[in-house]
Amino acid sequence: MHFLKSKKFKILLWLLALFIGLMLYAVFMGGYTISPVSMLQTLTSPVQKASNSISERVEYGLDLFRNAESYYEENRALRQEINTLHTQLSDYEAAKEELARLEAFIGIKEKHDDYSMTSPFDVIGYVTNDPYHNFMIDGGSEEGVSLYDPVVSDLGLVGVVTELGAHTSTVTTILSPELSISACVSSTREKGILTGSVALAMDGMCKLQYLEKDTKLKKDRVILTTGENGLFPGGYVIGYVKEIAMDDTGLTAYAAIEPASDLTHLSMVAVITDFNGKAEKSE
Amino acid sequence: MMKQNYQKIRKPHLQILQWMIYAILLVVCYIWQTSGSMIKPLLLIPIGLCIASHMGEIRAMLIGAACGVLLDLACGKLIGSNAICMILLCVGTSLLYHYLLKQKWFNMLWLTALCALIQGGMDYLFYYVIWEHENVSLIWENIILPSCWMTALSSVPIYFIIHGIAETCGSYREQKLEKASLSYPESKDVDV
Repeated sequence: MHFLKSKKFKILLWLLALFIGLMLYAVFMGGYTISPVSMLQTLTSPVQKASNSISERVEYGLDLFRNAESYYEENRALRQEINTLHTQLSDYEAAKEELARLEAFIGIKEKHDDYSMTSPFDVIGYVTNDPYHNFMIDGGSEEGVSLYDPVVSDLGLVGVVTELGAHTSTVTTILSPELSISACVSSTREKGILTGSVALAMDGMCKLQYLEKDTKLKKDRVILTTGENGLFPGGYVIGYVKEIAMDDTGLTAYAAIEPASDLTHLSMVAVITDFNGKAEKSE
Repeated sequence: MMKQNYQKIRKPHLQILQWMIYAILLVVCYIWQTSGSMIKPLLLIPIGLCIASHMGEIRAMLIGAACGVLLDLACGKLIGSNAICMILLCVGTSLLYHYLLKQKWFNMLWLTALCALIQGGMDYLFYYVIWEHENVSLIWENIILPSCWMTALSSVPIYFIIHGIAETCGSYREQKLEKASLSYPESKDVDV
């Protein structure tokens, strides 16, 4: 009873009232920190930060000391896991790339259901210093390839098999003057003979010759095979028109054609072994 | 006396090692030549010539044949065409080094340049000119000549590599002794 009448009790009540008041004020502030508290926090925050940082370091040191062995083991296991994941990732990337390339070849088959094609072959090497970029593939007679079969990439006609081994073949590209292909312009069906030319082969192009003098052919038009001679299937993309000029004779025009496939960087090609209208060997 | 010297320096295991290194070099150069479609030096020419310069005629012939066949395969030419050319060039080189030339890098440089031009010229004549394609000279200017110069220049490092191998493995010392034996009357006794 004496305490209830003492100053201490009054101070206690005042304090309680103050804090209740503060509580109510804080409630009415709706989440905002009340200024004295905020000021206090501002003043103490550097100290808190320093103290927290020291405490963290100490804890970290102690933790290292206590759990060094388990961390070491964990680290080693994680490294192994990372290596495994890296290997899996690179395998996955390679498989993904391979799949994309194979899908492109499946696309050819879907577009031209009359084609009989081999599975895609890898380009194993280019003929050294060849102006026409002829190359070797890892497929031969044992894989169903025959001499003079057309060779294609997913983008367009590449060339023809001119040397055949049991498991390798040499492909002569459309840049070579040795090849002559009946071709036409996709939009106008204007016909010409596609052949290689030494001068154009230096720039990675071939020549569509015997076009009419007043040809309406324009740049970037798509050139397709006609399939007339029975050596190449009809309607397959060869390349795009890059330039049109008059022949030396002045009687016909010709177009410089950029092959649809980059013949200098081929990695995979397929061989078309049969198609509608294919000429017999004897023919 | 000379015969005994030969027997001393001939170490079969080193000879085997030497030929193994040469074989590896040839295969590596062949693979390198068929990769990529840019213009490249024909490394098999300086390799064949450098090896031949350290060998007798028979071995030079064999190495010429090996280099020539690989060159035919890499260049997609008729098998044997470059082989014949390389056999003759390698035997010629062996004889030149036997009787006339010293083992110096500049000798190999001009000899390789000459041989590359001969090989390139034959190639140009029989694979391009003969077919009378238009603008065929572009092939000579843009492909064959640059390749010849690159081949000639590549002979310098190849010379030092082959010379180093030959010196280490004995065939160079053997050749030197053989040369020296020619200037002595007792050389008739020497069986190489």
